[in-house]
Amino acid sequence: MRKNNEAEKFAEEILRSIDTIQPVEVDDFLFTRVQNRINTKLHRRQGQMRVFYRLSMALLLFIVLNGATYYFLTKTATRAGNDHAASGLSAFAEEYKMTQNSYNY
Amino acid sequence: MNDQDLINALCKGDEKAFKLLVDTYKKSVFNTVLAFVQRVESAEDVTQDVFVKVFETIASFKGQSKLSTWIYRISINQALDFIRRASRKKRLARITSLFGADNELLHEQTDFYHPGVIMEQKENAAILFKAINRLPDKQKAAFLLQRTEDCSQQKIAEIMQVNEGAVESLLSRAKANLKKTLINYYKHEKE
Repeated sequence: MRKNNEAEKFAEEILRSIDTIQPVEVDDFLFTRVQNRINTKLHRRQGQMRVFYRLSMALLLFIVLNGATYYFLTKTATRAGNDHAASGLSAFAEEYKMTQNSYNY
Repeated sequence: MNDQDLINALCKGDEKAFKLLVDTYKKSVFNTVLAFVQRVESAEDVTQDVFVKVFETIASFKGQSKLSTWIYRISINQALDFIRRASRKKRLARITSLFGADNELLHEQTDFYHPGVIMEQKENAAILFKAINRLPDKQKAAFLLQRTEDCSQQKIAEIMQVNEGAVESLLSRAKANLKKTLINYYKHEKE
């Protein structure tokens, strides 16, 4: 019982210690430091934006180059395929003498 | 300059207005944060973060509460974030120290140092703040705002965006929890 009372008293005393805390003065250079921090953050953000912009441009260039390459390759392949088919047909026609009208009824 | 004029000037990026805001609120922000983080260097760091955040988000301030209330809210959130980050670092340091060459605990917080505590109460305040650090965030915020910043229950309710009844309950639970922790501490020390 006595121990409990002592413990209660101790707790109350410790709790009261917070009421004696005095307000603390702040560093006079706080504003300058805040300004520096804002500027640093701004520069960092600008740097990040620059990197992001460059990466976006590189990606765009990559996509455009890929698209263009695909377009030209498919176009050339189609034309080459058509030529190849045409030359095959003429060879066949020559082999079986179909190039001239030689029907004699 | 009233609050609205100050906000308008800040939205326009007026440097003088920002200096005025920092000068007006720096003491209350610093002392609020100091009560949470209990180290001058950390409190200075968090105070700077608070004003940077105010500068960056002033345009989103809708004026539903007083400017001081909004700044208090940012201060508490930043201080609690700092504490969470510090305890994460501490946990990480515990893990890395298990695998590291030396067994020293990195990032460990040094002893309690609050310059506002008078010499005779230093030991008692250290015990009290150790107990405060064990409180849940909301109880801690309500208790510290009332006891270190002399905020009324109404002001605390505005800052924490809860009703006055909730603040009353938070304060009584905080006090009960602190008492329980301190009594246990006393019994443990006496044994």
